[in-house]
Amino acid sequence: MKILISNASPDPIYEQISKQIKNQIIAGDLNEGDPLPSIRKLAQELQISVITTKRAYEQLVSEGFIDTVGGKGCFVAMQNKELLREKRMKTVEEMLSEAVSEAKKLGIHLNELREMLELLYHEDE
Amino acid sequence: MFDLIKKDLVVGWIVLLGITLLIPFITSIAIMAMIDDFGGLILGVFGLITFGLCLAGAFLFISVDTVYEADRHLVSLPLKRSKIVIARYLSMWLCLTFNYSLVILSCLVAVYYFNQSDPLLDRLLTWRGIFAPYLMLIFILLYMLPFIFKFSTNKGTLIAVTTQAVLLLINPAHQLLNKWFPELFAFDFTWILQKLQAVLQWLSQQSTVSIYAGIVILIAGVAVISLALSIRFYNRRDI
Amino acid sequence: MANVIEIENLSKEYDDFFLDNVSFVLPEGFIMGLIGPNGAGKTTIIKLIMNLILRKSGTIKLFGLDNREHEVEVKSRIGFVYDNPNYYEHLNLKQIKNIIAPFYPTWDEAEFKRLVEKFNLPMKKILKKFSRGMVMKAAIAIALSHHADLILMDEPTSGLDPVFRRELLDLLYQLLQDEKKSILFSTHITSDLERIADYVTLIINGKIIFSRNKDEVLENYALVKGGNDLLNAETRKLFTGIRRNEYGFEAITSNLQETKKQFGDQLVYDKASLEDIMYHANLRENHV
Repeated sequence: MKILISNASPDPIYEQISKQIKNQIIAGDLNEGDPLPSIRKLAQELQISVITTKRAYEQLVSEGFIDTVGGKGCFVAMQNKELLREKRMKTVEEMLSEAVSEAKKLGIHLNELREMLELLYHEDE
Repeated sequence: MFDLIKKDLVVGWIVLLGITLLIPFITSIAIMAMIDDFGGLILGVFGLITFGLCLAGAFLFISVDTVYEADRHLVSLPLKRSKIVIARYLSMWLCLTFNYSLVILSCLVAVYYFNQSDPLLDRLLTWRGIFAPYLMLIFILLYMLPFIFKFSTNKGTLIAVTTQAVLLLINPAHQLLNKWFPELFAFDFTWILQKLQAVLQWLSQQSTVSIYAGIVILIAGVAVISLALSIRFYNRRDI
Repeated sequence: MANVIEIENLSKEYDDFFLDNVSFVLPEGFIMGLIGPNGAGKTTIIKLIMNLILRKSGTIKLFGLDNREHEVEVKSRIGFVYDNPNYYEHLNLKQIKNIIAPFYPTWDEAEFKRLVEKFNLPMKKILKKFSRGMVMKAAIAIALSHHADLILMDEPTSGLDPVFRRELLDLLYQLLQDEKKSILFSTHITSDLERIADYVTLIINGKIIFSRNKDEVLENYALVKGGNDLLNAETRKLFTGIRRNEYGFEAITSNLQETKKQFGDQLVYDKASLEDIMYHANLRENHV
């Protein structure tokens, strides 16, 4: 597991942590049942406060990404593959709608936009 | 509590050693002054120094503690403050007794080993001669300790000594004032003196045993009051 | 969750300073930083907790017990470090340990040896020859060798170099792995606490300014800067510790959201450090 926090980021630290863990779960780097470090161990490793790591984990629990097993710690929760894909699709949708609204502001036509999209999509091939 | 007394020994053994060497030395000088009849003044001075050393020696450990601000640490230990006070009393009493024993020992050595003799020494080396100054020293110590626990060591000692000096000087001061300002200070203390004489009369009629018993009870009573006061003061003090 | 420290309406009076109705709690298993400028009352509070000085009014509960009624029991569970831990300077560490250890029923000699080795402290050298950092480490080693549940430290890092301060933080993180251990740490060097503290209590001139979750403080408080033309009777009330210069003013707001709503682009917003907050709060409290 990789977690890197930045003090310069506008996101509060607990959010950086939960986002990074979330993304790793979504990307499949962390699998169902993988154990997570205890909140105290994580705080020690990252040199932040226990309350911060606690909050990050609480957020992940409430969003369904991890489970707390009493006395044993936190583990990556069973992820519904469908739900996961849906969530990731939603992210793509959100990004696209941002692009669309910016394009509209600039007066870019749908056709122009489509061209741009195709170019970008084929960029790596 | 005994850990505290042990602490005193660990912390102050060097000074104790110094006193152990110093007291017999000074005592011997006093004895020599006595024997060679150098006159009452020298004897008086050395006598006073000897007994003063006994008393000061009792302050050995408390002085070391004061220098190193040990109070701060002692009070932060899981220890009742009253135990700290009791340990102090015990430690000072042991020190005083030790010092005084050295004095008496030196005198005994002079008389029985070196075969010196002197009427004054003979008077001293009786039961009465040994215990009277000892009890006096204990009494002074018991008087001073509550002051020390209420104020700090230095301030307390100063106040205690000052009050003792004042008490000692009341009679001569009164006589002086009476001489200079007879109209103002025409108080007659004679009725107090008469009462005192009556008490002394009664006392001297009691048996020796009961006199000693009475004195022991008195000192014990004073000790209890002194200890209670010290504990009360120390409990209420900001460290 | 139980509170390891519960202070209510605590006050103490001196000739030129008084502690005014101080109240705060520290939940078990966390670390709280007690911050404030010199003379603010931090040491006074810690001394009151340890019952070294007598309070004028209020209650102090440690581990749920009154700190006076159960003084001995409570103190045996506290590891206490003075800001100036001068022990008998003519003794060595072994002798000092032998004086102190008998008073703690839970003294752990193996743990003491481990810490002494970790801190690289000589057992047979007299304390007078110790550097300030070494004396502090010795005090910490002693304080941590009897399985204390509450560690109380009064300015443990003042006068010590940043390397030592980092080492101390590492040690504290290690301690906090045990969720039964709590730490109260007073300091005016706020950067020490910026990361590790779970809770922060700010005290100025004997008054508690706030006692809160540190994350909440850092999220809600912010440094704001704006033109001097914005300053009027109303706006002065919204900001703490306004500091003016020729070209604008700088202050702290305790409610970032509200301020952004009200002033929007008129102000420049920056993250406030604990030091900024302390500085501006101090300006406000001491400004006539």
